[in-house]
Amino acid sequence: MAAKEREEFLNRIAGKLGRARRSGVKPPRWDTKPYAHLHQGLDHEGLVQQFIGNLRTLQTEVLRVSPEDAGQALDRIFESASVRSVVYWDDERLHAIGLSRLLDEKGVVHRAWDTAVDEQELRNYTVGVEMGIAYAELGLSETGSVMLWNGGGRGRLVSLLPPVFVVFLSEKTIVPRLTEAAEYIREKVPARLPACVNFITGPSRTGDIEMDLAFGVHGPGKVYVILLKG
Amino acid sequence: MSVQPLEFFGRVDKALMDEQLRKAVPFTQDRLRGGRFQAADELGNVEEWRNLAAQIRMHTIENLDSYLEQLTDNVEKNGGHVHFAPTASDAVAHVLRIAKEKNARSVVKSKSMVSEEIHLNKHLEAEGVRVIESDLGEYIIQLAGETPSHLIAPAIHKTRTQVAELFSGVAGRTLSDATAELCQFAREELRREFLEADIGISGCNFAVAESGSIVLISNEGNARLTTTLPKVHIAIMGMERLVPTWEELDIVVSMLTRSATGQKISVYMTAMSGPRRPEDIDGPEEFHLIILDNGRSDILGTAYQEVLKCIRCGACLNVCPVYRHIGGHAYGGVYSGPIGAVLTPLLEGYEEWKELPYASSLCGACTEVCPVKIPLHDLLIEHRKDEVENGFTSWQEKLAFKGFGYLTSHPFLYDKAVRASHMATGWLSNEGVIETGPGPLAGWTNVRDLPRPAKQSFREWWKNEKGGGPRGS
Repeated sequence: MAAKEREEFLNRIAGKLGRARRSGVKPPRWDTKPYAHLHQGLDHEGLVQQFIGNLRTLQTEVLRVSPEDAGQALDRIFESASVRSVVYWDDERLHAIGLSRLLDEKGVVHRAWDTAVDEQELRNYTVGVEMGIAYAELGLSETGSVMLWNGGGRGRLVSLLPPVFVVFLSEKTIVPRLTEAAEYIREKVPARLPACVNFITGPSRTGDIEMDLAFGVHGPGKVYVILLKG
Repeated sequence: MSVQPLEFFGRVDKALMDEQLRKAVPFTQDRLRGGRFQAADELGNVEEWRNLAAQIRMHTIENLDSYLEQLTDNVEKNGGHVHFAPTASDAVAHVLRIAKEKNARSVVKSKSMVSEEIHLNKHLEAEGVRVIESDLGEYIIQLAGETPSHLIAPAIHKTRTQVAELFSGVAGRTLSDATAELCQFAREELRREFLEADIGISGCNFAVAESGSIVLISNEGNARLTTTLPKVHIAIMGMERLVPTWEELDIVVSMLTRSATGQKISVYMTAMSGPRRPEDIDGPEEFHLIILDNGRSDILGTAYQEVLKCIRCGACLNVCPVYRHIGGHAYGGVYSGPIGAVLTPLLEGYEEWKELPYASSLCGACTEVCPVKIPLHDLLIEHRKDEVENGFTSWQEKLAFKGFGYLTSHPFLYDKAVRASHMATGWLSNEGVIETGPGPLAGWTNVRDLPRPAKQSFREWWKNEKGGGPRGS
């Protein structure tokens, strides 16, 4: 960025606003919280139910299981989606579930998003893969969204290229809405955010042909959430 | 700008003759408007949301220099490059320079109204760079060689049969007009383009100053592919499209998706903060942010300043009775509907766009739904006033209003004039209405009947009716 270019641009704005240049302005404290009533009276189980209900209306199945039953949840998904190959986040939480062993048992080809591997090779593999698996940081009950904290072994293409996307979420991390997620993110700003944070709410959709709803035009057309109890 | 081969009234006539358009526009409007009303109902306190969103946007605009400074500092801290573009051609020049440096042969784009505003595709293609629009609607109209007809649903004027024909042409075989088959074809075709593209170009729904993030909202996921697969990502933003922090982002995003389609949130909301980090093996290696003025700063400090609050949701289009009948293309500019009628003359001048502020019945439905409370129909009146003051009205109209002003301030003459006009219009009138008016009256009577002027003025009628003084008894 050329400093002179920027100065001229910003000075022009100040001039048009009819005042001296400002710097370091902070937003005021907003005196209303218009979202406050939306989750009033909901306990955590209520939030979980709202999360599940919202995703159901978006054609997204939520499988609520204990961590030790993750394999059964995967079984059910594999029954409804024919999948022979998988790519998944190289993430401690998925390793702790024993994902690699579970996928071995299903007899599918699978690879982690291993950053030590040649980038182009991993990308080519992912282009042809049928399922991506990741682990979400937060769930938002108001919308049924999951928040993915990408970076390193948590590759963004895992949730994007394959036609089926499976995301694990600990039910403890379900919060009411975007407001809590924004607070979570703000706390991380001083240490710098990852290059990409995603909020994903159901399958890729479009209404661009005569407003006729269709899934999977670019991103995954099928999404499953495995909600881990406890 | 000259995307318009026809003058305004020519474009309107064309739209009114287009049967497909006259079915598709109301259908889409009803769906999107219905969604918006349902979402507003579910919130229960939509006025409180609108007030807060409007305050946030106004605060940001009033301190735009400071927040842009903070944003650009943070984009650079994140490892991104920032370019300022006072004009459309500056923005184009930045993109062309980057494309040249990267030796780019193809560029994949996700939907961006700002890139339409600067006519980027045309310029890239002139340099021999292939441009592929990846939003399904944008892809359809790109194949058809047309421009978007709606902010949110750019291809609503196309039927599935037309889409099937366009796609069959690309496929070299006949595709059915089933939505699923057409989408599958677009997925495969565009996926190949994504994987091969050298540069991805996106717009920017909101930038967040405190973290130097660019936030993109999409339902299809094409914005994610555009900003992840190519080695270089260029985001182009109108200079007003930012918020101070994530706290404000929460509110404006909540309003944007609910107002646009009625969704509580879009399928994808992606925040990108610079290029990939050293530990990443996906995402762009280079990130460029181009910040565009192109006439926006001239709006600051004027009666029109509030238009810069706009978050491009399209809610005003979906309630507009004029848009309903003429669709997006008739407006001629990049931005259509009430927001287009306010914004286009500001960005491009009255000379070419003087009719737009009159493409409104001033019913105020747009103002009522605007999630950031832009007084759209007041601004249309403001435009009409400015056009008159700046001489953009015909001499007949000026003379007529001058005469009317004189008569209404002279009651005696006014009474005489009313009687005279009643008598003078006798030969034109059929059962009390005039169906075909002469001269300037034709502008009215071409589309509706004009009641014949009354025999007497109201004051005279009142006097006779009450038989007393001017105040009655």
